This record gives sequence, structure tokens and C-alpha cells, in this order.
Amino acid sequence: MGEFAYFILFLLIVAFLLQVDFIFYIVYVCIGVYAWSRWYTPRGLQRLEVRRRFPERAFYGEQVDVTLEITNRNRLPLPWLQLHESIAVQLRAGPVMRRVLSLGGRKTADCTYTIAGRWRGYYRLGPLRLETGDLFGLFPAQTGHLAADYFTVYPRIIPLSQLGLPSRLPFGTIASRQRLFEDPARPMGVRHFRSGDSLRQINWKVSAHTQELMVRTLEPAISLETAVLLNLHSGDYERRSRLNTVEWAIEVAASLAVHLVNRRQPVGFMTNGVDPLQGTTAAASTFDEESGRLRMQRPFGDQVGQRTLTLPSIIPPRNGRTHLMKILERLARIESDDTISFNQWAPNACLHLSWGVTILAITAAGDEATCHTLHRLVRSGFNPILIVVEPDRNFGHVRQRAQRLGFAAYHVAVRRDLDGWRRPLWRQP
Amino acid sequence: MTPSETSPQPASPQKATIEPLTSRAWNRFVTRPLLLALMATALVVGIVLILQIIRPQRPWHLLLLLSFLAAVEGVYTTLWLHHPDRVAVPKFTYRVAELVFILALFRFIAWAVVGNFPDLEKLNTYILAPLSFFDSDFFTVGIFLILFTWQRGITLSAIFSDLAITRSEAIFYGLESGPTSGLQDSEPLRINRSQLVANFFRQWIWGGVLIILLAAVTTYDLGEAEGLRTLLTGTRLGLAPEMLITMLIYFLAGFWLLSQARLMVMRARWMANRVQKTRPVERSWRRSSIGLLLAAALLAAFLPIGSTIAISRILTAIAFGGLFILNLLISAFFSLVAIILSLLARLAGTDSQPRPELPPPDLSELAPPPEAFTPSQDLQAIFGSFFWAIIVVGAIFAILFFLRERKGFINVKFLQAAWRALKSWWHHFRQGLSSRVKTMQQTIRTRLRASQKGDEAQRAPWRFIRLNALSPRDQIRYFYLSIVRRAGQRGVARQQSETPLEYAQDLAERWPDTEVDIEGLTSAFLKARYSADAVEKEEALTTKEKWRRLRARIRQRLAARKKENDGKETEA
Repeated sequence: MGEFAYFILFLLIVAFLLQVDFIFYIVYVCIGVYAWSRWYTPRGLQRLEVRRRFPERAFYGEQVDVTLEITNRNRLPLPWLQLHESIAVQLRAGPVMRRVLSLGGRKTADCTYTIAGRWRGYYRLGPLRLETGDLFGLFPAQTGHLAADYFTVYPRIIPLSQLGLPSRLPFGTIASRQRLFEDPARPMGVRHFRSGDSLRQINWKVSAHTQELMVRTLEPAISLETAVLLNLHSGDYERRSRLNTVEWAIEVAASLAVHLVNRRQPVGFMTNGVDPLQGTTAAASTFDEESGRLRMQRPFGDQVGQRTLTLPSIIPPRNGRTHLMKILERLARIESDDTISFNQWAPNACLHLSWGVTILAITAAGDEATCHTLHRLVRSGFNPILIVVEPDRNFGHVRQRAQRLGFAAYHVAVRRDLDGWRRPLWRQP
Repeated sequence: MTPSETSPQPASPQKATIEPLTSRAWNRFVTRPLLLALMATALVVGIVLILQIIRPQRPWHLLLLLSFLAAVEGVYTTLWLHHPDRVAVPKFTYRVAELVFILALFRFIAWAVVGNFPDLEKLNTYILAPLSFFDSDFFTVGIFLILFTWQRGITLSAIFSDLAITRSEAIFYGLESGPTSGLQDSEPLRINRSQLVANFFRQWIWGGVLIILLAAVTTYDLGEAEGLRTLLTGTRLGLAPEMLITMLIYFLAGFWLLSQARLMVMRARWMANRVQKTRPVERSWRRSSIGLLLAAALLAAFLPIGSTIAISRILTAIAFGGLFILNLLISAFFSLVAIILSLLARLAGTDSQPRPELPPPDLSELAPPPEAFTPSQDLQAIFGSFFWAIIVVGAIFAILFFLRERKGFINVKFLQAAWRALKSWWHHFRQGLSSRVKTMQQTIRTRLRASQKGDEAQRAPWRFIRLNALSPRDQIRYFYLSIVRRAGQRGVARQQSETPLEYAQDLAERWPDTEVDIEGLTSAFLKARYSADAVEKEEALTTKEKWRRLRARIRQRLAARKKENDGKETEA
């Protein structure tokens, strides 16, 4: 369409030379249309405000509405505006978001589409490509972009009701059958005074009322300060089923963390996997073209023997929903890799933990080396519990070995194995 | 994108219906073809004006109308031929038939316009000399102009027909993405629509150049030879209003069609990319393009005219200077060539000897030249008749072919249905009109009587009512209305805005002793008038009793009032 400029020039020359006044009118109209198309199209795009509104996190299986709010700050309308939002394949819950709309002057339009959290991960949402152009095709279309946002899908959480994990820490909030750990903040009733009862336990008001010495009875309670130790060293998992088993291990870790936080227990999290976002920003990260998930970046000098991978930072045990979100976000991003073996990593990782902390060690198999590592933790004053996530026909041997070495072992290879922990409380024996 | 943009579904002959035009269909079948025809016609306006200046005695302006009709015909035929159902129609043959049809039609129109329908002598001349058929300048020029606009109409319309979304595209891209992914091989071939738009744009631009040049030429007095010799200093006639309107229409229509072409490209692209389109986009596109063009046209009207600007004079001076220098250079060149040639001639002349003069040849011995071959008139008539027989038979076949293929277009059933619809409409219209006239007559008559006879004329004519012949419902209505009438006569008239219950209150206030009967009568009337429940005979009888009592009371009061009045009068 570059011929149009030459045409206007030709018209001008003819009009000047032959002095046909009306040709000037045509020239003015042509110049007007040409100038408007050249000036207004980029300006219309520049004065466009686009915002993406959506909840940045979603649970597994949840559907989320993403709204694109487009505001035209010009007084004049934008005849057409094409939108194309890049959405990760694993998030799509319908057709691709490609729309074209017209926007009036100083008007706002909303475009809403739905995404679904089908797979845990840290996803990129966007970028949004905006395209507009003049009405006559005199100039190429103008494009703009709205930077990408990021969306986290938490791992699947299996609701648990009763874990039955033992603890050595008194004065917590979980009821215990060990009378040793009676919690003065949890009065249960009164009984007659017996010899040996502490004078501080006497309920003086009730004693005065009944004219007999009565003592308070307290509900025993423990504190289950827990650290989830997730082994994501790829070498420890069977190659064939590694992908599924790793995901399962992450789901188990997430379910345990959620359950404990719901019971108001402090939970920490440690892993020898890799967090792709560790030490970098989302904008600088690379995302998988197919799935749209955050992709792990190999560090510089990634050769055998020269690995410089940094493990994700330790999340110390704390309670509260905010802390849980932090753990779940980490679990959403984490990937297994050939980092450092569990037996080398676990003792050092637990160094900063307090005495008596329950360590939920989630790992692929309960081999002898793993059991010995956990035994070392027992000897260090921790309360390790082994949770094996790979199918193991001889898990009885592992359990016996664990018993001998002073810790409990559970086999949670499939979802059915969690049924014992998912049973409602009133059906517990 | 809805498939409605594609070529419309063929109407079966059994169901000949006329569907209302949507905005898009209106645009496709009316606005756009007419604008294309106008653009095609605008190209020949300049030529017609020039012809008018050179030979003003001919009705050249009529050619504009005929050219426009030819362009319209070409545009609509292209639209018709691009319908998927016309794939089997041989395009070239059909175009030839169409051409013959147009030529034949124009020949008759030309005879009618010029007024020289061929008589026997003229027909004889045509047979003897077939080329004399074309020796009319109006006909010859007309053929050229009509065929030119017809061809332009076809070309421009074909571009837009190609730009439209095809039926296969609409079907394929209308499928869900799932099934489509398995039908990659069935994907319709991508049409290079941008190239088509560029083609239209180029044609529009070059057409504009032609119009501008013709417009410039029409401003000169072409009758003067001097004017033609130096174009810059020729006598100026000014721009004809026809040319002005033509330029305006051509460029504004071109811009609008360019915008439409762009929209069609984008529409096809959006459909291929499965872009969801909101309905106001196309409307906004059209409105914006029209608004922009009108704004530019309005603004341009207030800008200064170029010839009054100094740059125009400067450019003119530069042009004159350039021409003067060019003239000088050419003169110098030819002078130089002449000098060189003369020098060479002189050099050659020094060596040459004078040639002896030859005696004239004796032509008396030569044989006389043979007589020129002149074919006999019979032979000429045979050849001419043969020629015209072929032409006429060919033309008849072509016209029949042209009309036969248009049988869907000229559908007898469709025309019959349209005629019936038109007749029905006319019948209803006439009935409605006559009933209105009668009503009006009645009203006027009533008013006239009322003005002549006063209130009496307005009174309804008296008629006898048999109460027992009425239904219980009607009886109750009669009782109530009778009381209303009597009460009105006694000074308690019902206002138009009053409901029956309000009127009952008025009556009860005026005649408190009849309150129970009035309430009973009113409620019975309300039930009879507004309720859908059946009204029993007993109810009518009960109401009749109330009505009688009320009537008696009203009469008694009337009598009492009369007595009072009589008493007063006697006292007086």
C-alpha cells in the first residue's frame, strides 16, 4: 500500500500544474485518511490499559476465572482489537483465548476465560498479544503485549483425619493418651483428691462447695512439631515409575503438611529436590513450551562432576496458614533431580531442628542405608518416621528393621494406603 | 463468523419466499454492488464529458445511464456466478452470451434514442455491407464505454466475491477444534486475500489517475486548437459539476470499499484462527470507516484551495521554465543536426557529376489496365444474408442461454408468488383505505347532523329491548346502565373517570336509603361485566328486584320534587 503515498504525490503535482482546484479537495481527503490511519492506530494501542485479574494460586482440580480488563483511555473508539492469550496446555479448560472486540471511547471491556489446575506446577499465564490496525489496510497491524503473570497450582491434597504419629514433645495441642503430658490449659473435669496429688491441682471452689477435696483433671496433650523431609533425589527412585512416584511423594508431603497445619502444629519442610525458581525470578526463568510449566534451568557448567546445583532453602517448622502456603508453593514447583543422595543429605539437613522434632521422612524405599540414616536421627534425639512411597512387597522386613532401630515405618505406595489416616475420627477404635 | 456471509442457500422453487434483508445482506447485495457499479461508471464520465464538448449534438449523457446499468448487470452476474450452485455453469460461454445480450439490447436502445430504426432500405444496406451496421458514432462509442464499464464492474465485483468466505471454509472452520484436528487434509486452500485487496487498491488508484487526468482535460476548451497545443495556457472552462460529483463518489466509495475489503480479509483470518468475534465489531468497523470518511470530507471542505497557494505559482513557473529549456535543447539539437547534414551535402556535392535527363517512356504500346473486380449485388446479398443469419442465430442462442441459466433468477413460481403477495397486499390496502374512508364519511356526516340538529342528532336511536330475550349477564348490565341513565337524568351523572364503585359511593351519598340496593346492583354489574364466572338466572332475578326498587325510589323522589315545586309555585 506504499503506492498510496505516490498517488497522493501524483495528485498534488497534477493539481498544482493543471490548477484543478477540486483535485486539492480529493488530495485533502486522501491525506486525511492516510494521516489518521498512520497516527491514530499506534496511539490507540498506546493508550490502552490492560489488566489481568485472577487468583494467583489454585488447588488441584480447581477451575479459576481469568478476566482481562481492557480500558480504552482514548476519547475515540478502537474499531477492532484482537486478543490472543497464551495459556499453558495443562491449564486450558476450553478453547484458546482468541477474541476480537471493539472498544468505545473511554470504555472498558472484560474478557473472561477459565483455566483449570490439572497438574501441580508454576505456570506462566500469557503474554497477551494485542493487535489492532487501521480500517483501510494502509499500514501494517500494530501489536502490543501484556507481560505474563504467574499461576501456581498446588499439589493434590488428600484430606487426612488421623495420623497417629507419635511425639516426644509435651504441651502441644494434640490430645494424647500418655498421662505424662497433661496440659494445664485443657481442664477435663474434677475427681476426689488422692494421696500424692499436687496441691496446685486442687480445685478450691469445688472443694468448698462439696466440702471435700477435689482436684482438677487435665487432658493430656502433646506438641507434634514436625519437619517433612522429602527425598527427591532421582537416583533413589526407580526409573520406570519415577515420574508418578515423585508426584505421589509430593502429594503425600502436601497432604501431611496440610493436615498438621490444620491441627495447629508447626510444620517445616526440607527437600533435596530442585526448585526451578530458586535464586532467580519468574521473568528470567524458562517455561516448557508444551506444558507451560516452569522448566528447570541447568546451571552454567552442567557437566558430570561439575554440578553447582543449589538445593532449595529449608523452611523451618512454623504453624499458620501463611506458612502452609509457603510450603505448598514450594511443593508446587519442586522437581526431582540427580542432586545429593538422601543418606548424605538428611543428617546435615536436620542439624538445625530442635530436639524431639518429628521428622516425616518421605522417600522411595526403606533400604538398609536409609534406615541407618534415620537411626542416626533417633540417636540425635529426633523422632523420625519413615514413609515409603514406592511399592515394596517385602515392606514387613523394613517395618521390623525400623522397629529394631527405634522408629516407625509406613508404606504409602498408593492412595488406598492412606485410608487408615483418612478414616473419620468417630470410627477410630 | 457465521456462515451467512457465504453465498446464500439456493431457494428451492417450491418455497419461493422473500426473506427480509439483514444489515450484512443489505450491504452485500445492495450497497456494495451499487457502489462498485458507480465506481465503474465514474471511469467513463470524463470521456462522456469530453465527447459532449467535442460533439454536443449527440445524447452522450444517456451513455452514462446505460454504462451504469451494464456495470450493475456485470456486478450482479458476477455475484450470481460465484454462488456455489453455479459451479457447473460454463463461465466463458455465459459471459459471451451476456455480452451478446448487452450488445443486442444496446443496439435497439441506440436505434430508439437516435430515432433511426432501420427501414427496408437500411436493412438492405446492412445485408450488402455488414460493416455499415457499426458506422454510427453513438453506437460505436457507446459499445466501447458500455463494455468498458461492464468489464470494470465484473473485475471489481469478482475481487469482492473472491474475498467472501467460501462455503467450504465456513463449514470446515465452523467445526469444533477436536474433529478438525483429524481433518487436516480436508482444510480448504487458503486464499491470498491480502493480494486481492492489494489488487483492488491498485485498480482503484489507477482508475483514480485516469479520472483525475480526464477531469483535468475536461476543464479545457477542446474546441480551440491553441488550447490543445499548449495545455498549460489553454482556455479553461472550469470543472463540470458532473465531474466533481464523479470524483467525490469515486474516491469516497473507493475508500469505503477498501475498508470493507479489509474487513473481509480480517473476517476470514479471524475465522481461520478461530477467533471469537463479538457482534459489534463489524458494526463498529462500518460506522468508524463512514465516520472517518465523512469527517475527512467535511474537514477538507474548509481547507484552502491549492491554486491560490504560492507554491502552485512557483510550480507552474518551474514547469514553464522546464518546458522552455527543453524546447531550447530540442531546437539546438535539431539545428545542429541540420548544420551537420548541410555540411555533408556540400562535401558530397563537390564530387558528383550532373545526371543526363532521360526521355519520357512511350506508353502507347502498353495494354489497357484490367477493369477493377466489382462483385455482383446478388453475391453480396448472399454473403451478407449468410453473415447475418449466423449472427442472428448466434445472438438468439446466446440470449436464450443467458436467460435459461437465469431461470432461478427469473423464477416463474417466484414471480407468481410475488405477484400474489403484491395483489394480497393491494387488496388489504384497498379494503383498509375504503373502510377508513367510510368511517371518515360517517364521522363527518354525524358531525354535520349534530351541528344541524343539535343534541338530538347525537342521541342514539330508540329501540325496543325485550328483557327476557337477553342473557342473565346482559340483563344485569341493562339494569345497571338503566339506573345510571336515570340517575344521570336526576342530577347524579357518572363522570367518565369514575369507576362503578366510586359512582356507587356518589349515589349512596345522594340517596342514603338506597345504599344496600346500589351496592348489590353495582357488585352484580361488576361480576357480569368483568368476571368470567357464569351468571345464573337467579342472580339476574335478584338484581331485577333491586333495580325495580331503585327505579321506584328514583321515581318517588322525582314525584316528590315535582310536588314540592308545584307547592312552591302555588304559594308564589
